[in-house]
Amino acid sequence: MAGGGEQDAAVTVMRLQATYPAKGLVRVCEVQGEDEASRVTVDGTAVDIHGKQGNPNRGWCTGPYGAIHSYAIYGEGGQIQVWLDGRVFVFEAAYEGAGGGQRAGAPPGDVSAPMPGRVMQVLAENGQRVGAGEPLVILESMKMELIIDAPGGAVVKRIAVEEGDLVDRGTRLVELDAADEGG
Amino acid sequence: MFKKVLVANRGEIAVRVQRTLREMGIATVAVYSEADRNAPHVSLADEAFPLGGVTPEETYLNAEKIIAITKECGAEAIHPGYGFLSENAGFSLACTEAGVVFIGPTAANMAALGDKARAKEMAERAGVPVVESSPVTDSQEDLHRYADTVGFPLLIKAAAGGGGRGMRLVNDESELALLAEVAAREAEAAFGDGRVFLERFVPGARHIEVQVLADGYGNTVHLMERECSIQRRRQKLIEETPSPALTPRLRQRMGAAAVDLARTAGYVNAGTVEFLFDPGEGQFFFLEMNTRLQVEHPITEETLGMDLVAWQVRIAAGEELGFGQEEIDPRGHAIECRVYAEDPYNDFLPTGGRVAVWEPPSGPGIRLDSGVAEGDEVSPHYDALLAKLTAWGPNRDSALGRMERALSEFVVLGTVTNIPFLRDVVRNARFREGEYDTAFLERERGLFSPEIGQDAEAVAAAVAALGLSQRSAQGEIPAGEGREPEVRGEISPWRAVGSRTLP
Repeated sequence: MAGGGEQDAAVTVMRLQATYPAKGLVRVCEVQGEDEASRVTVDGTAVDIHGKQGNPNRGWCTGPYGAIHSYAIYGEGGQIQVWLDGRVFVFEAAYEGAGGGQRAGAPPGDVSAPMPGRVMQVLAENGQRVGAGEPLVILESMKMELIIDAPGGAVVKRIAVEEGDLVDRGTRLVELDAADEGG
Repeated sequence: MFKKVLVANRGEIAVRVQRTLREMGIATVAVYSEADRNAPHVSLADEAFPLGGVTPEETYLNAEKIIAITKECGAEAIHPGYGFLSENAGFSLACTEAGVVFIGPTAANMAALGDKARAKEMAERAGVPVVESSPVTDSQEDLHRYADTVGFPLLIKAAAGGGGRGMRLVNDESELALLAEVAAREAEAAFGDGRVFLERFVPGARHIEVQVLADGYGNTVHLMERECSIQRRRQKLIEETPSPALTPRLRQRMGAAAVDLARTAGYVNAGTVEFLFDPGEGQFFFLEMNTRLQVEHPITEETLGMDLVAWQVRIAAGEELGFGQEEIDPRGHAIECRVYAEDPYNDFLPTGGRVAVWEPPSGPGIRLDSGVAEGDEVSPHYDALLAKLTAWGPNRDSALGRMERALSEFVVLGTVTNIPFLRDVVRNARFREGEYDTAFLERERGLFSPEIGQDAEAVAAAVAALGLSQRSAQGEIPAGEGREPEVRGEISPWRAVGSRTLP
């Protein structure tokens, strides 16, 4: 299947970027072949992938220097998790111009929940001036409490949650106005 | 011996206890919450009863209901595992009153040793050195007064319980009020007792504990030590035995101190005496005694060739130990890694989600204690411990080699786990040398931004590209979601560019 089918090999081209454990480079990947044997060219370097029969989510591949890597794939939403030789990577599709770092997220002045949980206590007030490391909100999850601190000196523009609220990871907790240096 | 035993717990420890019961020819009874209906500890049991509800209070902490089920199904004893009701003297007493055997220490043992302040008094009486601490209190004022007289840094600890809950390091006066409040609330939520105390913080200290075993006839032995200094959030992550920090003489002294304390307390069944070891001074101090089976008990089992759960059951059934201290003969080295659904690169916060792929390792010297199966959801209501991986080898190097190899083979996808991080710790040069203390992870910042070769990431990208193209070919990825690949640029993840010959 791979290698031989030069005439009719459909090639899918995509741009991918690792988002976990760290944000990686945007890589152009060209996929040729399918299931049991595929060749993926990453920024010009070929990787031959040998999927298990009937389960291409598990198998082995040979990289640039011929070394064998064991892999497993799991996809959910627009994310692809890859287990490779004991390390886990998460990849997302990157678009043209996605040089890095411009994913839609909270503006820099906001403090959001780093984990899902319940708002246990709100310690800051609207309009309050806070210093770096000053506690703003306490979240509770699995019976452990996490104190969310101010990342730097700022004025609290708005407390976006109330005590007892259930929040997801990434939910905005507090809006900070870092620009307000005066007064 | 008992014919039927109820296991009042969930997850890996419920599975682990049931395995021994089955090996002993004892029928097993499981209890389960709504969230655990399909959990391995239920399917493994001979009988299983729903507790109704999902929160710990409604389920695994519901003493009345658990005792009622025990009576109803005709079980003669309850094994509490660790956590939940395992250190609850009131529960032990209620069992006795209901005519059910509690597999563990007596209610009096738990009342005396479960309270950390009373345990310290007991240790002093037994001639065991203790760490200075304040009296137990529920008054902020008392804490401030004590801190004023001794200075910082100090540890706030819950009077009851363990597992790092209700424990916080206080660096100065300004932090004390809030951290005391948080600690008290965590302790109240976890153990139903919000009282706390302050303890002197010993920098550079190692956490070393001694396993003890005592029968009801006055025979008490210790089963050597476990080093538990690799911790995050003051909770253990990796444990090993023997400790690389102890000389034979210190080991002997620490073991003897643990036995003295257990004897002074009239302790019965399995327990663990925790010490703080100051390697600079070569001194150890009593911290607390855990009146239950410890999470990390498998490493002791592996080096001694003993089944601690079996001994707990035999002692509870009235059997004698039948061996003495001189017959305890450890062999080789064992290490345990705790596999959690948590993200080390995001403050070790719980990740939740589904265990979509679960392929645990095996091979020489490898033991896995797990309570999850592929497809399980990680419930936010309970501890995020997925499994304990234990490696045994004839010496420390071989045990670490086996652990590193096993972690490399362990495939978990779906929920994010700490497995790659654990492997980085086991590979760490200072850890390999045995040079570590409880602040190891705070110091080794390099572990939190692992160096990943560009080649490895490129190969992973290739595999991800294959996965993504298969998913889009099967229509698993919706084309919409506010993204319109066609207008966003020429190259899109969801568009094949047709037939073309690759160079």
